[in-house]
Amino acid sequence: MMRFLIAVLLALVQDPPKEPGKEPPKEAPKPAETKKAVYTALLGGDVYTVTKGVLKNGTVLLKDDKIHRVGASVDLPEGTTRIDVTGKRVLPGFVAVNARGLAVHPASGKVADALDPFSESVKLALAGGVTSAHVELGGGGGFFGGAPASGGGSAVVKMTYGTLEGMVLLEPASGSLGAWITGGPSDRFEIRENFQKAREHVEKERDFDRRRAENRLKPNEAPPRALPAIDPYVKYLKGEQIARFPSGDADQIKRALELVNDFKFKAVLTNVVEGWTLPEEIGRARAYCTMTVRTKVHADRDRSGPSGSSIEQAAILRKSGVKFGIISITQNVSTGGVAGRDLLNLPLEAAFAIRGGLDEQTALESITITAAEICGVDTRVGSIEEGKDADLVVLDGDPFDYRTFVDLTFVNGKLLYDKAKSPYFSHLKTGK
Amino acid sequence: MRRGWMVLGILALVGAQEEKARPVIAIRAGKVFTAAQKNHDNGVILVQDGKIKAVGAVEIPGGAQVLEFPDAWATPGLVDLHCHIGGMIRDINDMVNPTNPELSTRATIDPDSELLKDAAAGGVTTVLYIPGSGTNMSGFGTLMHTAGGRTIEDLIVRFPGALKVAQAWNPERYGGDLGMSRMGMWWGLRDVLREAKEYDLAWTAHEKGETKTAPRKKESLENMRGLFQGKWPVIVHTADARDVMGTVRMFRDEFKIPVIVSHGEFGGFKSAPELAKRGIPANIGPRTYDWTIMMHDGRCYGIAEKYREAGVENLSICTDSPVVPEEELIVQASMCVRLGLPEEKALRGVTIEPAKAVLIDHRLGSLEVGKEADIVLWTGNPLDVRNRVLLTMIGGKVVYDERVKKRVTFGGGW
Amino acid sequence: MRLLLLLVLELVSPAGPGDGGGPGAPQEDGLALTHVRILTVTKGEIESGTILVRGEKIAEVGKEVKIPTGCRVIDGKGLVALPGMVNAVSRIGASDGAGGGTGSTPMNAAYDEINPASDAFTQALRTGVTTYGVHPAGGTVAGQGAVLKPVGFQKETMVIDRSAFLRITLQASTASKDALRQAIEGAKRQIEAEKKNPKGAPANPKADEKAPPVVRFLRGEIPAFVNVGGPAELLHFFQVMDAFAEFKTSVVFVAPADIYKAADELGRRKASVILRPDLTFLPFTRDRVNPAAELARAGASVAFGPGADLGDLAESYLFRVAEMVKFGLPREAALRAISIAPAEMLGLGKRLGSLEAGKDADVLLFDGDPLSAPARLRRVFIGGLEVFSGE
Repeated sequence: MMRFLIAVLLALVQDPPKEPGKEPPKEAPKPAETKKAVYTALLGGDVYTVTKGVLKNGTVLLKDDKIHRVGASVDLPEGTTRIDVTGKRVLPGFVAVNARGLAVHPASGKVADALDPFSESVKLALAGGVTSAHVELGGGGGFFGGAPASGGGSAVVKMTYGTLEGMVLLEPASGSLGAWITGGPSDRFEIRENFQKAREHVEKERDFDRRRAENRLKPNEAPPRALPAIDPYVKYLKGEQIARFPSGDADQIKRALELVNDFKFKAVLTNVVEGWTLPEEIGRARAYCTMTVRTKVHADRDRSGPSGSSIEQAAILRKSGVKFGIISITQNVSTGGVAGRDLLNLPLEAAFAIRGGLDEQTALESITITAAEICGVDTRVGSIEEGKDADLVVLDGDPFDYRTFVDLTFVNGKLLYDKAKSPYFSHLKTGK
Repeated sequence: MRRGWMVLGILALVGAQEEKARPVIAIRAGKVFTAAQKNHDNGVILVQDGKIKAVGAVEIPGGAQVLEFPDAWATPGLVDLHCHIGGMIRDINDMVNPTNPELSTRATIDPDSELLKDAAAGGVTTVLYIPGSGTNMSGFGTLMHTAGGRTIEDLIVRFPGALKVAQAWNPERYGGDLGMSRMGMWWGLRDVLREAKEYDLAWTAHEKGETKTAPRKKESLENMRGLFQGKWPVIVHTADARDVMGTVRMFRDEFKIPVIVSHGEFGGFKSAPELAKRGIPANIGPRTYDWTIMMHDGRCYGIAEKYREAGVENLSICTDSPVVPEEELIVQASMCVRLGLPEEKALRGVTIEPAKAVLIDHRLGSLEVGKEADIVLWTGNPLDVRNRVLLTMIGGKVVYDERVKKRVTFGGGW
Repeated sequence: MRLLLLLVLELVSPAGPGDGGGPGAPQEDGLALTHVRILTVTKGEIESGTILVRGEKIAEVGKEVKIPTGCRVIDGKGLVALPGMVNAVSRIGASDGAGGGTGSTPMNAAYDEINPASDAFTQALRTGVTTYGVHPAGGTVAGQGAVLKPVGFQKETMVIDRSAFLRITLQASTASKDALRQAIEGAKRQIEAEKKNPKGAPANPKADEKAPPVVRFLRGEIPAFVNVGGPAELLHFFQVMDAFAEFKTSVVFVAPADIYKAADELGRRKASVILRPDLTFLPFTRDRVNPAAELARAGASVAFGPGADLGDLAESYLFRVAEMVKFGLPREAALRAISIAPAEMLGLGKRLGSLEAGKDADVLLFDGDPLSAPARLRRVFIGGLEVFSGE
């Protein structure tokens, strides 16, 4: 009975008050707060600007995440962190023009949402001097390399280890017109139709703008609107989006060029192998190419003209004014043991193009400014110029010497890799 | 009597003409890397009858065909002891029995192979074309040239080249059959080696006349005899320190056969001191560094340099083609240098050292008088990947000349 | 008259042993654990003292405590007292719900999944965990978690809070982040609508019916336990939530060992993290890292969870916690991490998680220091009731 009474009493008493939530998370990103600028200067190195020649014994001054000044002698503000790079070479961070699966989780959707800034592959890419990469969602390049499949979101991603801030440089970075190459007649019909409709829409827009300027619009006339399905094609035509075609052999290249010539838009032919057999055509269409120099395909004996791969492809394309980006055999980083075939040695792949007759300046551009242009980010990265992003590498030798290592790598002005402090290569005494 | 003197006189004259008619090729190169005692600047190499007649600051005889390469480097033809591209890739593994001393690659050679042409254009003149590592003992490999012959026989330098054995990893078939565990593998090898050793002893005794009746002939063991007679070595695909050590113990200590430790990666260099003690050659490739697999300190280690550091003197480099394309043998050497190996060692590692390891150095591997004229001309230091091959000569015959037809297929890989 | 007397006697007589059966009401006249070495967790260690329990609460803890007459006394000489441990990441007694995916089901409640008759509750008593935060199975916004103690056979007696926290799993994908964003947006709209219409009726009849638990989270009434697969997912979570920074929310991250890579960010935000008490290695090496120590050093709040309710992980829990101390986590932080820290993260820091007057009488008695290998758990008290004695 007593028990019953106690139970009744207890039931009448309320639950103890819940504890209010714990301390709220402290930091929210604060809007415009004047922070003191951070200056870093690289002094005494040979500065390979890429676009304006080599400045010997020059200074590169970084302010926060940008290149502030480049010159023979630069006034350094008080508090500048000075880094002595005498005897070394300062280059723009390398741009990897195809890097499926690098620094991202396997997922679908936007690359920005799948990024993994804590991946070891980011650290390894920095050790190879790669600061930006055109990344698509999907698998990596594998142990011994190989061409990746197509599809998935694409973005130009920076190797900002430890933070998502400033990691996406551009998304979407390209649209895939792979269906034009690998699809069937109905796919091609549809693509052609879409381009046609897009062209008509652009024409309508131009007409509308013209008549508006001349005050000849009909009453209540609205600007023309394109159907959502046509929108990507309008962007291609307007140069707002780059289109990529996987185009290994001559047939695929010709097929891609057919579309490019009909509708005139910025196109990138990826993983080109037989481009050297039709360089003028590619040049006339003003299409870009990406290639792995050491891809090998023997000539097809059943074909009358030239076929297969050529280590001279880069040099041949250059002669016809074709712009290209060079990528390593494994389009990702690898620690599998076979050296020189992945993003840890991107300049080496370009050195093979030099073996095939390419000049050193173009070889350098193929992994810096032209690669950036192919990815649509050349206003931000790819050369050492005032105003561009502070993405830099310091090398201990000629970029195309097989013995050269990356000493320092900066992304967005922050030093993210230091060979001497990293366990990767600090113990190596290159056998010169 | 006078007729005899006349005949002798005519014979002498004819002889003298013939002497003059044997053509001489003279190669002059900006730098001659001999892989021997001395290198030469602006050196000359004289070639006659497919052999090197002279090297260095020599006078070019009149009537010689002169090949001028004033800015080029001349090197011995490159030698790769771990090659699988002599024939078709599907022909290199017969995976029914775990040990196959009766098999060989000799009959599978394809002299027209495009891959061999790529190799020759890449400066590789001699390869040890071996079976794969699908079984514990996959058969005998053939030491062969990459070009310069229309038939299989034309290309062969020596058969047998070497016995191929694979310890660990690849032969560990999980089909539940013989030799799938290390226990099975070691036993299988010992069994065959013991039998082969007894076979060789019995036949040697009979050949010396010590026994009257001939022992029973067993074709499958015939080529094994050369191992015990020191005529050709066994090349063993190994990985990690345990298997490197096991290989050393079995082949050298127990059976006293010339042995080459090939691959030796995944921390295999930890057994390098034992190789050094016994003077066993190490053959490095396709992996040129040990890093995250089997190594646990976050560091990237150059394998070749690690073996050299431990005192291994005969150090050669390979491609394990097609894993790394055969024509990239020199690039493998470049990578070893990048990872710490001295340049000179790296160049020797693709010339004289592999020749020594496979017991063919009396014939090739260096630019020395009397050796076969396997010579390559490069646009500069071969280790710099920006340089390429201008000309390849095998046995005095030009098998590749860029000026005649440049070979542009280069690279690939598995 | 006699009937009346009988009634009165009934009223005043104490409860007999046959009353109710099983775990029933606690000792009426109290319980005293004497000569015990007491690890209060929040107020230091008492070499030899008394824990006085009255009803379901701790009445007093001290070196010298007056023990009232009629109190049951247990001489704890040689024993060590620890607060009952709190496992804030549990699935005890819950049926196998469909987990994963990027769905949003905030109305789902772990409470509904719990099977009070499950054998797991009895088995788990030997592990020394006396309070469980049970998570619902589900997708991105999985639903509401419940808090329970493993006593009684009815949910009503076991569960002390039906809707104690929101459970979120964030993956690094557009689908997952969008699902979270939409759920928060929906709750935000509801809060704003209610502000405009304070009289109670929802201004927008189309108001998201799924909103309430997310609304309570956004208002700071309940915390969210956010499961992240690694430090990258953590940053993606901040990316989504920093857009709603005007709301003072409380978040507890349930994270794997490599979360230490984001220690600086977690410390900067003074975040709360629940981990398993396990070491990990620096990438590519065998160099050990103590994630808990790294987080604590950076200024984050750290709690532990065994990683399972039963089996090896649960049985070896204290052993692993001891490893954490061996490898650099201060002892005090380790003891907090298994008791008061997870209690606070569940919003129950004032009610349990330490041996202090006024708190629930959830007490563990070990025959040695709980963080030393030979010590065994001998007795478990929940709300003053002895529920386990391991001989």
